[in-house]
Amino acid sequence: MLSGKNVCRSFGGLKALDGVDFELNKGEILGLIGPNGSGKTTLFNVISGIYRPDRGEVMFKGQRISGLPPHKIAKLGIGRTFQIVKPFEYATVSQNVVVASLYGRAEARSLIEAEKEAFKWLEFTGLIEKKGILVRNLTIAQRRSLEVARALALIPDVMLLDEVMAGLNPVEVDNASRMIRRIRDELNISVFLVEHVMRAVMGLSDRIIVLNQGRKIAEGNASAIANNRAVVEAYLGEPYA
Amino acid sequence: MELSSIVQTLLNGILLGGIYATVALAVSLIWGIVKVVHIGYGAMCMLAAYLTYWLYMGYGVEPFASLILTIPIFFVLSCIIQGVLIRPIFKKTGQFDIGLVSLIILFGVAIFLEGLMLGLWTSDPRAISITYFGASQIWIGSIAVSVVKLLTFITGIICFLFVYLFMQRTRLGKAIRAVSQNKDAAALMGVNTNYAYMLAFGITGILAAVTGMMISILFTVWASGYWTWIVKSFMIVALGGVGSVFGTLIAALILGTIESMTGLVFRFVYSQVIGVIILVLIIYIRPGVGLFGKKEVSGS
Amino acid sequence: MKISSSLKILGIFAIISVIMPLLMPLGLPVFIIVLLSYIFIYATLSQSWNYIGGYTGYVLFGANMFFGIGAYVTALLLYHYGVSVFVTAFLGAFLAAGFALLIGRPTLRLRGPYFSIATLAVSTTLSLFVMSELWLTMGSRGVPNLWDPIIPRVGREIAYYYIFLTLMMASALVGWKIENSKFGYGLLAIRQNEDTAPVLGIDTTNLKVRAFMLCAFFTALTGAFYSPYMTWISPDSVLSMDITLSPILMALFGGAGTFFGPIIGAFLLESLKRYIIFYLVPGSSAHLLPFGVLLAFVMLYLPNGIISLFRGRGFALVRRKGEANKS
Repeated sequence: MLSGKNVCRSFGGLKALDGVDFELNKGEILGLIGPNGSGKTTLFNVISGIYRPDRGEVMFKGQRISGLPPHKIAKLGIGRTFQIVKPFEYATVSQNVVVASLYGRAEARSLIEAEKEAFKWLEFTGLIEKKGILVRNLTIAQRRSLEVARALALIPDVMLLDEVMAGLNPVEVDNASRMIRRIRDELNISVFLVEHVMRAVMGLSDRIIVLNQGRKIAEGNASAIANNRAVVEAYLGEPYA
Repeated sequence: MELSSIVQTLLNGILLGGIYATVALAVSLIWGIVKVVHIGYGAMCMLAAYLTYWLYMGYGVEPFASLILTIPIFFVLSCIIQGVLIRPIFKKTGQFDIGLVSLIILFGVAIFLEGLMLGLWTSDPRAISITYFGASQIWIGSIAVSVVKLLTFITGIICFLFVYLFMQRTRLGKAIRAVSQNKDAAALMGVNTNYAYMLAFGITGILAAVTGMMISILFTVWASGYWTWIVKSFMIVALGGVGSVFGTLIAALILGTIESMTGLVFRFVYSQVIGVIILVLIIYIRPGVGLFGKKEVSGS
Repeated sequence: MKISSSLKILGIFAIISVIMPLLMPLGLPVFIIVLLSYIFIYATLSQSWNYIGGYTGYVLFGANMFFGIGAYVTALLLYHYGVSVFVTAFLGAFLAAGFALLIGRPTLRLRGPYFSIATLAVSTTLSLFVMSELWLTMGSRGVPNLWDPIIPRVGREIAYYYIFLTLMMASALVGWKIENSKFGYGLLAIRQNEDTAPVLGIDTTNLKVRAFMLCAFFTALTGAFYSPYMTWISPDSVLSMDITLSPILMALFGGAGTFFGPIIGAFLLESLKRYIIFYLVPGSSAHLLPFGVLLAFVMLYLPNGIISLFRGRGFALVRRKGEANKS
């Protein structure tokens, strides 16, 4: 569904991404882990069109998307969340999602329609009670849910989730994991997941890719990664069973 | 076209550039240190120009001498502006970002000062014509150099040196540079950021006084005339790089020279247009950084 | 269609305004009509600025260039060829929109204060251009003798009153429509977080340019009718800083980002200005003093304008009956 070949991106002299290959299959939850600065968010930025790759390409559903502007890529069906949440602070929760319903693939034709659409996603993410509240009054967990709801309202085929669980307590992490599974199971969305919360990534992902210093150093299922020497040395610290 | 008239124009361009540089210097400093666009600076300069004019016409105070009075006045005025209008912004968050809010507030200052000037001195343009050393021009070969322009150019260079030395050599200057690089880190090291900002504004006030004096003896003083100065200052800062003292100087000299040379061949208005065109080009190619820009205020 | 309370108030205001001139035979003095005409003019300018400054968040500092384009096109065609403003007004407006398209693309790439400065630079240059190209614009002497062939000399005050009222209502309705449309939501997104907007499928450049062109259109249209109203224009009268400044202040003071805010702002501030200029300190520009102060203090203490006193500090675009919107 979504794949990248030899993706390279540098900033000044720094190689953020150095020839990364990846493939996200339909219906898969693909995990992306690695130490800070290894290029995970940069990869997401390249996929969603915020950056162009210096070399290599990104393909989505058979079409080349690297080099397209971000709004076109969003309309093709890739939704993403940001590591540092970027909602529209001074608008209500429902308005945030309505924007996505209007401009995404739902193509709601009127505000009423868009609102109905938006409410669907607010229900899904459990925010429906808060629909009239200004975003600046939400907790961090709620903001994360809002980011997800907004991305869902685009009716994407692929979701890029960038550290959705950072800063959440264990209960919230479990809720988030459940929601991600529902996204894949109920909505048929393929998920590309960046996460530092190990038990969540290991539990959720069908496969995992490991990045270090802009390069892919390992790929495989959870237990293979956990026991991979290179990964352990670079990132995990100790054999993680 | 004779060589001498080309050289003449070139020279005038450089002198002009030096004056532009002094005006732009203050804008560049505030932009780099406080990260705020001081659109009210032009009005302050014009006010200083009027004050110089008034002291000269009314009391016979020679412009350079009047600096003794005007510098402290504008230093204080500028500090007050910072304390009353700018400081509160940093405490708030709102719909617009700080850059915009401060821009609009300082726009308000400009408008207020313009109203003040129009009220006190009406909209008739004023000018001081003054000669120094008994001649209005000195001759180098067949090239005429206006004495007044030369003196103001030298004054401008002195201003630059003053700022450079202050920023690089004094403790206060280094504190200010620290704040411009990393506000929080500087605060942790014991620098009072508010005083640093206030001092930066104060320096702007001093520069306004000097610039105003220069404007009053070189050009006509006219309440609404400061907008062109401000626009040119922004062009210079954008071209030379925010916060770079040296860059501002070079950029200003370039602009002055280009304006002068363009004015030789085309009509006056096109010499102004060329500045805007260059500005647009620079924005396209290296937005925010210009030719020499750095993220901090540096001496170079 | 949900009708918000602002819209209802606007409707009442419109009805009252339409009736006003009919009170003249009963003794209503002319200066009220003139005052209201100016209020309508500034309300339209303020509303137009609001499209790009309030809804989109790009604070434009050179709207006077559009006003000037509209004014000069009409004036020159009227002066040289006697063509009525009703024909040429839209020509000027479209020209201005075209100009906005031309400079919009480069300048709208810039964020925040940089955009403001760039537009300021363009507009000051345009002023200089107008003043120097005498062959085209007749320079600083201005274009005199602008009497429109269609509008009768007797009762022209009333005719222009209705013209400007129409412009104000048209621009207000456009503002209301923006607020309640997909376009408006797109602008909201750009205003609140331009980095996120594209990821939601919003083509930010396209929307920004459209808002900019709308602003240019209405501003120029107002300028177009201003020429024959004044019967004489000059660079000072149509390209002055005041034309740039007042709408900005009025929109911010009244409430940028809502369609009713600019109207309130224009109403209050234009009245204040006239009071100062004609009664308090006649023949001066003394209004600049309180205007400058107001501008600064509005930004510091009431950034959402007067209207926020009635609606709470929130900044939502769509208001429905009964929906709470508190901060």
